[in-house]
Amino acid sequence: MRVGGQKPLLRTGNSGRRRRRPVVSSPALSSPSRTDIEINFDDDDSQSEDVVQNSKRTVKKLPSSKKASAGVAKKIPSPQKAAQQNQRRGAKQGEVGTAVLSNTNGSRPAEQGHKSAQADACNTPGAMDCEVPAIAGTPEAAGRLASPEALTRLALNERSAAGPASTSGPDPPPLAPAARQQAAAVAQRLLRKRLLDPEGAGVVLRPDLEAARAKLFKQLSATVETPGANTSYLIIGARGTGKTLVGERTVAQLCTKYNTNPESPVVGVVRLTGLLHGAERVAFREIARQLCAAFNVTFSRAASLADNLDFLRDMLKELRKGHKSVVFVLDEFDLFAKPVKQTVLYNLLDALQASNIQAAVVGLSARFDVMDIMEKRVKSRFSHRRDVLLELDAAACDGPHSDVPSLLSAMLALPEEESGSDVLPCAAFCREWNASLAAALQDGDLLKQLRLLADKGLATPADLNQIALAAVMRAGREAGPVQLPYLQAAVAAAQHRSQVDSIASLGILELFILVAALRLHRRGYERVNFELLWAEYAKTSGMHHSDVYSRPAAARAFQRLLDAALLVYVDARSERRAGLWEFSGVVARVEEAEVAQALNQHGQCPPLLKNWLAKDIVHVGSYADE
Amino acid sequence: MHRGSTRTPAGKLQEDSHPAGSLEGPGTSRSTEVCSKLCSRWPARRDQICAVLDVLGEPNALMPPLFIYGGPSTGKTAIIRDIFMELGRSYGYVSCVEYGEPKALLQAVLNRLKGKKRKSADGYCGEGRSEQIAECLVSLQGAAKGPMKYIVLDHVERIRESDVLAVLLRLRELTGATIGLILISQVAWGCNAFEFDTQRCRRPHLIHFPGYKIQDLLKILELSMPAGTDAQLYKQLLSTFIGPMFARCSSRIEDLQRVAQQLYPEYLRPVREGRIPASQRQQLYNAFKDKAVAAKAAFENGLHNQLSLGDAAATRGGSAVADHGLDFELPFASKFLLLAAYVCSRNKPALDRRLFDPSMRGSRRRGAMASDKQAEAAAEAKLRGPHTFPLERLMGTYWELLYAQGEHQGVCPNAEEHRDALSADVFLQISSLVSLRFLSQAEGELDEPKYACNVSDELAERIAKNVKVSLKDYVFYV
Repeated sequence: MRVGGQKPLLRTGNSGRRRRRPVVSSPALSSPSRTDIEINFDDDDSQSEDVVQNSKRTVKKLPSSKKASAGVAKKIPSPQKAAQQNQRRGAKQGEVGTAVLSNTNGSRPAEQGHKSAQADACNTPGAMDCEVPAIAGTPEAAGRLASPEALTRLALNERSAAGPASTSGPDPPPLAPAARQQAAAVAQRLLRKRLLDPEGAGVVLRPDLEAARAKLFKQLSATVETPGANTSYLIIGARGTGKTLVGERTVAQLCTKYNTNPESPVVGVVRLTGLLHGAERVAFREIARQLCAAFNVTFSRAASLADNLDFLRDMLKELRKGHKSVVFVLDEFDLFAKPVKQTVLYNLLDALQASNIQAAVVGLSARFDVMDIMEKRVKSRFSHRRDVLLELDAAACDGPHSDVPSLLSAMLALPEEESGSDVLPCAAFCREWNASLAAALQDGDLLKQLRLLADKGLATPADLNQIALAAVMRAGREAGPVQLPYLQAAVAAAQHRSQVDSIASLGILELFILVAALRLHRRGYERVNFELLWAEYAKTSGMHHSDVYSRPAAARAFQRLLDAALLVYVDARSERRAGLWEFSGVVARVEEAEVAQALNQHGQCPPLLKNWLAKDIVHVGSYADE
Repeated sequence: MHRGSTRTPAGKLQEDSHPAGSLEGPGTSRSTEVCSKLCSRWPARRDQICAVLDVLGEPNALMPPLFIYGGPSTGKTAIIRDIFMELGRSYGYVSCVEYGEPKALLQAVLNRLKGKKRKSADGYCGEGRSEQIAECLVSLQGAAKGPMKYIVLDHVERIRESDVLAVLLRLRELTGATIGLILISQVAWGCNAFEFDTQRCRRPHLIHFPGYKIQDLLKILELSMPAGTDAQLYKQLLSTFIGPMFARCSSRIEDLQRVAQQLYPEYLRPVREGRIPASQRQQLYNAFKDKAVAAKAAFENGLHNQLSLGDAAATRGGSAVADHGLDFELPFASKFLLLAAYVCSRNKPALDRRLFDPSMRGSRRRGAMASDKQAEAAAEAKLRGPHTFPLERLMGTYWELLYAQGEHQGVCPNAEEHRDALSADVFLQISSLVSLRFLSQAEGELDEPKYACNVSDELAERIAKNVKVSLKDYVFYV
């Protein structure tokens, strides 16, 4: 799209409603004097008719677009435009001609290269008999990462190759400290970027995600290429399975494929999240803002909801005339379906029904019943295309990155090909790192822990990402490779219950009050109050222990427990209300097992307290004053 | 950007307390230097400091959101500030106590990122205010590009239930901003308050600051010893009294510091007067023991004043002026209304008839076991606390109390006649008692409002004394 006069003018004499409406300078619509945005469109006349016959469209397309592009070439002798046209036509031809190739955007050579590399690896003498499954359809950097077996094999190869040539020992020559430091710093930067980037920065997707990505990409590129193929798509998956990763990856791929000319992008992406944009006013303003940013239109903050709604529809229409399309990515999709009228969803999906626009809506949600909570009118406009991302299967070992350890190694492995640049650490360090990583992931104890984690449901890819990140950050301290203890510590931290920590660092009196609350709960009190707790605690004064405190001290301990959210008011208003605080009901938000664990961790816990927690009746004589 | 605090940072030591031990080899990098320097300054915090440094990493390294939790007085905020100071990186400090509203909080974060200072000229309003969280994020997107910027968010437990936390934890994903977020909280992450609404919050990287052990506390206190004290005796005081007696009921360093400094001259007195030589530990202990026990009681009670509960107790109970007097004025009828409310809130409704209907009295016979049981139930009901009561019951009890008093003292012999004439007055007084917060309106239907009585036992006792009613005759709980 070319914007007339570099910047669209705002008409002054008109009402606010029509202010930002983009108007096309087509002879049928308006005179040049009324123009806000001038869009040069090419094959509008030929394509606006055939929206109904979707099935025949692809066949009809080729001649029509050729004709149109010829017309354009006559009209505007801009080489950029022509190149773009050619490129688009090429893409279309590619899709029509070889349907098989539709999802590989030119990643064929890389794949082949990878396959041959794998073949090489299998032929080497150090190779074991276990088979490496081929990674299908993985884009760039596919060859770099592999499963732990492959990594160990690489390490072994490395050793056997380096053995006779360089040094006599099995270890490669150590790097100079300075070079090592530098390499470690580069590795840190690379891995932190990879693990913290929502797009995954080059991590190979596991087969599930790869399949989902390919499907989504196919849908979206159909929308971009063929008019009238508007789609709505839903990706459903539990938290941390990689929905955002799939979405972002696909969108990024879409952009790199079609937005060849940064001056006039073909695909515009609008990202919304239900956390922020659930309300319609906010959502449509944000849509308008992002559309304006994507297509170089000035955005007016003062526009009302009605303005923005109009703007959205007009903008989509105009974009369609320029063969441009918009992808809406709605994160936390279920939150858009939460408001009573679901206006945002309704308006977006309703816009997709129109024949004269070209757009797609991609929703990401963790709620599996999100289709059911959509209103009827919203649901009927939704295309019912959806993809469910499954969680990692703890038992599965078939795919290259489908089980827990190999996913971890994919996250942590460093590329070994290039070396010494600013972006990639030198190869020697990478090899050392990868060997150390592979050795760590062979450890039986760690694998058992990971398995346990997976059984607890704490080994989603997002959790593994955190574990990997923790290990990387720890490795940064010594500027060395990642090691087994780091990974073990990270895994332990992942299943650590921080509640226990905070109980274990309480004072003695606070613990007494907390245990008193648990005892009362055990006796059937649904809620307790300070008077009850104090009475319960006061019973221990006959047990001859040294921790006898006054009532004000106990009140203080009670307040401290409230601050630590270990005791919680039943009625949240109790804190502010002028009642008798002694009597306002609280409940203990801890489990007995947690407290028991914390008491064992606590350095100064008197044995009486442990018994007081464990047993209803404590015999006084045996625990007299420790 | 900085909190103007008078609080001494928990556990901070003098610079020269430990020589910076060179634990690493000769080839120590700058970060290990920084680490050992910090560790020498903050005893018993080595693991935590190292963990924080690991997360911060090299200058400009990306980092996940960091969540630091630990009880009060464990040095969370102070250590984080010191670390940034030592690393020479700037950061923005935002306390969630100051900015309760999500919008205000985000705006504050934004202002820190832009480095704007609030000035009196523009009414301390900072950068332009945005209306919505979404807009804040948009401007945040613009503000945080390029080098890493750090925001320290203190007292995060205050915003644990608002979804601004979820937004903040996803800041990177939502805006692509290069912001290092450090959250400091007194409440552990595992507490379900943080993981709200099907875990929309992504778990940050957690680092726990455990409470100091008693021996660590003593070490810190020892090192913050005021100048001019006898180190030997001070240490003795700490290990014999402060450790076992005071540190056990409060681990706040500032409290312990204060109490140690107050007790020290007293502890020293026998030595100074020459009665006991400084080497006689046992004698010193015996001489000081009673005083320490008394001080401990005061310490416990005195701590109570620091609580928010303390003020409430003061306003509610009032300070005792005289045995029979109240330190505030109330209309005569109001006092009776309060007593009536107290009786209603403590007694079960079934008790009313037995109390006020003369024909009921003594009509029931009970066994010895039953009375035991009743006493138990009464104690239980007392602990469970007051309950609400309808207006009608309050009025009934009020008139009964008034009659009984009138009969007894002859104050209002013709109360029966006044009853109807006065009732409007009485209602008025009820509403004024509600606005004084002695009573509060509890849940209940429109036509039958229910009230709760906020009068504590001791205040009720004093009011009863004031109007010469014996409460014992009326409050039985069951």
